[in-house]
Amino acid sequence: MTHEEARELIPGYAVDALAPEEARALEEHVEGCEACRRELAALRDTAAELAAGLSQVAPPDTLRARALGAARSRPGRGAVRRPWAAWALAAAAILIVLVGIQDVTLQRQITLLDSQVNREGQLLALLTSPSSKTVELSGTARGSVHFVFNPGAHEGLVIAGGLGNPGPRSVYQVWLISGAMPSSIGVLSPGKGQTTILFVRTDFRRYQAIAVSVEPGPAGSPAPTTKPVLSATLPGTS
Amino acid sequence: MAGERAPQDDDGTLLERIAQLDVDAFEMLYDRYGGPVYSLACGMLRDVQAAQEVAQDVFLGIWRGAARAFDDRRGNPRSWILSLAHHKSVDAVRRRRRQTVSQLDETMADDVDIVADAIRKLEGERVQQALGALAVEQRTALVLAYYGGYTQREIADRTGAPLGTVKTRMRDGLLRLRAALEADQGPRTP
Repeated sequence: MTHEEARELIPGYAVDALAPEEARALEEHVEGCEACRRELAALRDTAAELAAGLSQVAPPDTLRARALGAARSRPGRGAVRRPWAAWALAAAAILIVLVGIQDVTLQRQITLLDSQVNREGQLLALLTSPSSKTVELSGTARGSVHFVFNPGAHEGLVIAGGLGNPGPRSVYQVWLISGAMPSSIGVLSPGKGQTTILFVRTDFRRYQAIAVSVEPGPAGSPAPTTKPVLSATLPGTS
Repeated sequence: MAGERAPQDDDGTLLERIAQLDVDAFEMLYDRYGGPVYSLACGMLRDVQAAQEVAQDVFLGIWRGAARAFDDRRGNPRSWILSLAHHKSVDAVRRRRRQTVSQLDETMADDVDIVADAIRKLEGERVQQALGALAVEQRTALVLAYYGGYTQREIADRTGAPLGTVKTRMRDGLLRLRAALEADQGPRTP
């Protein structure tokens, strides 16, 4: 990109209106061009005035609590030591869709970590804890489903990516299995290319396996009605 | 920690402290910019839940590493924070637009609404006047881009103007806006 071309693009960049490839090319140019940096800085000041001109709304206290809570619970960079944590964090970074657990007729022992507050902090704490264990589910379904859990903390999460369409009016439902007794921990409603996460809080020592089956949507079933399409045994919990 | 409590730390200093993971500095920064960031997201998304998510994302991004990436050669901290907020809001608007693409019967009427609505909602008299002084095509291009989250290509498609024309209008509009605001009283601090 020539300097003149960059010059033309800066206003569009300052209001986030460029095509992605134009924006990337401009960023590269600006990195090495003092004059364009100054121009961009000046136009960002102007754009900031467009923001400041909007009517000002007081943010809810919950926003403050969440933002500060997440900062406090988060150690900063460098905490990722395991490869699975690295991919999970990468997935989390590209805006995962956090899906609350549907309240199907579940065993009471399994409660959801529904508090929106600090959910991300919990996720990261779980992913980076040295006592967390992880298993990858395998079976006939397409996609990748991992289960990460910390037996001591009684917290776990199911991370599902790339699951195909379960079929009309169907959902994927996730079960923890104790002996022959499956307990639902919720349903996964994957969008195209999205990563879906379910939080689980329970005493994992009671369970030997985790499985996913296809069930009628949107709420799932009280007990599995089909054979599992994915499953894994849980390590070190018996 | 008490010794560090310097309420007068400027924004740049706060960002430096945040880069060192200083939670107190982060709290101060939030208290300065939580309102403006949330208000921008509200103005663009018109949905308090979505706006909260965007605002939270902005601040967590700052905490997580953006503060380290801050470069004062690229503008003052306030403009930079608001540009982060704008960027995230635009992403959210576009994501939502893609999701609702099936019920797409948007017409030019929507554009007029976005422009009129955005201008009506402006409280800052300075900005309102400066925008009002632009040629209508320039104003439309700028408002659709900044408040509506449309790309130049989308604005060209929606207004029927050639892409090059839209780029020129946006550029001239923003430059004129800058000149008007600078002539008025120069860049403001929060």
